[in-house]
Amino acid sequence: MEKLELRYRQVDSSLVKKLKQMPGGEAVGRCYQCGTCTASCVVNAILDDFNPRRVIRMAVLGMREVLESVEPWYCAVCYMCTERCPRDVKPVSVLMAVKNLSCIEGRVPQAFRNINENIARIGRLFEIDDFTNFMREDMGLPPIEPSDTEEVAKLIAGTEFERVVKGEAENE
Amino acid sequence: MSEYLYFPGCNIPYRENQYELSARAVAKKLGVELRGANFICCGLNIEPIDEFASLLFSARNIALAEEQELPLVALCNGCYKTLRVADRKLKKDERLRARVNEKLAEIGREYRGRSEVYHFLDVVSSELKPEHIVRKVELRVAPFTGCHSTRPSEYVGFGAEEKLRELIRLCGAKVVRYTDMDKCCGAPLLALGEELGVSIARQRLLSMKARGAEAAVTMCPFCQVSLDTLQVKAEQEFGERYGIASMYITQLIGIALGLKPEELGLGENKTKPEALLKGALR
Ligand code: SF4
Ligand code: SF4
Repeated sequence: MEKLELRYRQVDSSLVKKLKQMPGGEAVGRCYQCGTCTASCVVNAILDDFNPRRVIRMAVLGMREVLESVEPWYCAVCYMCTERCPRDVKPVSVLMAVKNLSCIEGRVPQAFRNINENIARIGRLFEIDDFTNFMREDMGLPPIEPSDTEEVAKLIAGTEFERVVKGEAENE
Repeated sequence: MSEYLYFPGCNIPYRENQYELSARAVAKKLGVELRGANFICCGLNIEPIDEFASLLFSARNIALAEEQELPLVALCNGCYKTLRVADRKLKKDERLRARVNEKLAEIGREYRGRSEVYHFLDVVSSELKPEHIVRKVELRVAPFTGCHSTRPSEYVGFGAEEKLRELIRLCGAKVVRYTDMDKCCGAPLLALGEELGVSIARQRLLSMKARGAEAAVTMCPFCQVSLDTLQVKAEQEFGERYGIASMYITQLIGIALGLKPEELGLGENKTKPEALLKGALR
């Protein structure tokens, strides 16, 4: 009994409304739970714990756990589900909207935070050091110039992205 | 002579330079000019965090192409898809474009929607003619288009499956069809755990092997890392042997154009396709 009550308290009826307002989340309400997305999913094929149909169901039911969960982050963004969904829900985009909302109200997995810290700092995923440029030159390739970090800082100023990489998002 | 602004992305200069090398060598043979600019990340990795910021990165890169009045060409499926989707969305949605341009103005740039985003395979496919081919490579080749050259079909696509098959045949090789040939390579999962990427790569390699493929050709650094680098790991971990020599389509074409293995960086591939290619030349 107690367990049931706890779950009930976590239900947030505004969740689905918020998702519908985010880019990618617009069609979440059309889902009729056929499971075609999960049946098409390469990640589900190797990992029972990742199930796009279930994530969408939880979101529609207003279960805030999805915003704290690492599950949506396991999506490989291969778009197979979106190609096949009979209701044009665009499941991959709904998961993207869930993740974007997690960044605002929930949790960002550390691995994704690390990747994006690099991008915010140097404008790219990886730093191209002198050694790599030397190797490129040796192959006859032109060097990769460092990016204009000042420009990158200005570009991201005031965005949600900047808040997340600066660690101002509430949770770890 | 056609001219493009070349978008290298983050992955290729960091760990897959043989793709750029072979692409440049093929471009030169075909009379395609690739110009450079100081690009930042395409925006792919930012999407899960903040879709708007991801658009800002894409738009900033496309703005550089507009400044030089050139179309943009990417070698990486991920970059191609991210830039292409952003470009299509911004061309269609005036309000979104205004929001993006408000931010771009702060760095003295503007997105006007006057460029176009291409995948290099598309360019090669329209430029390469049978008379360019100087030798045949007789191999059984599994084509691997990856995801983002064909999906999301609402925004991307140039008939990559067919074009890749046609290019393989032009080189004198035989196309091998196999189960799940349109599915993901697994590389996007590497950030969360290498074993996940390795398991998916293994599935693709097993189905290629089951149909008797000797080699695989890729058109994306993520796919190549899966079928090449992770193949070595999967063989160790699962105690299996797949024996699929994995290479970029630009490397296969380069050989058929008469270029030398070192001009195509073939020595960089972990699955060592060089010997196989040499034995297959006619
Ligand atoms: S395929 Fe579409 S309608 Fe079916 S469960 Fe998935 S999202 Fe819902
Ligand atoms: S996009 Fe994500 S959820 Fe959809 S099929 Fe691919 S991995 Fe699965």
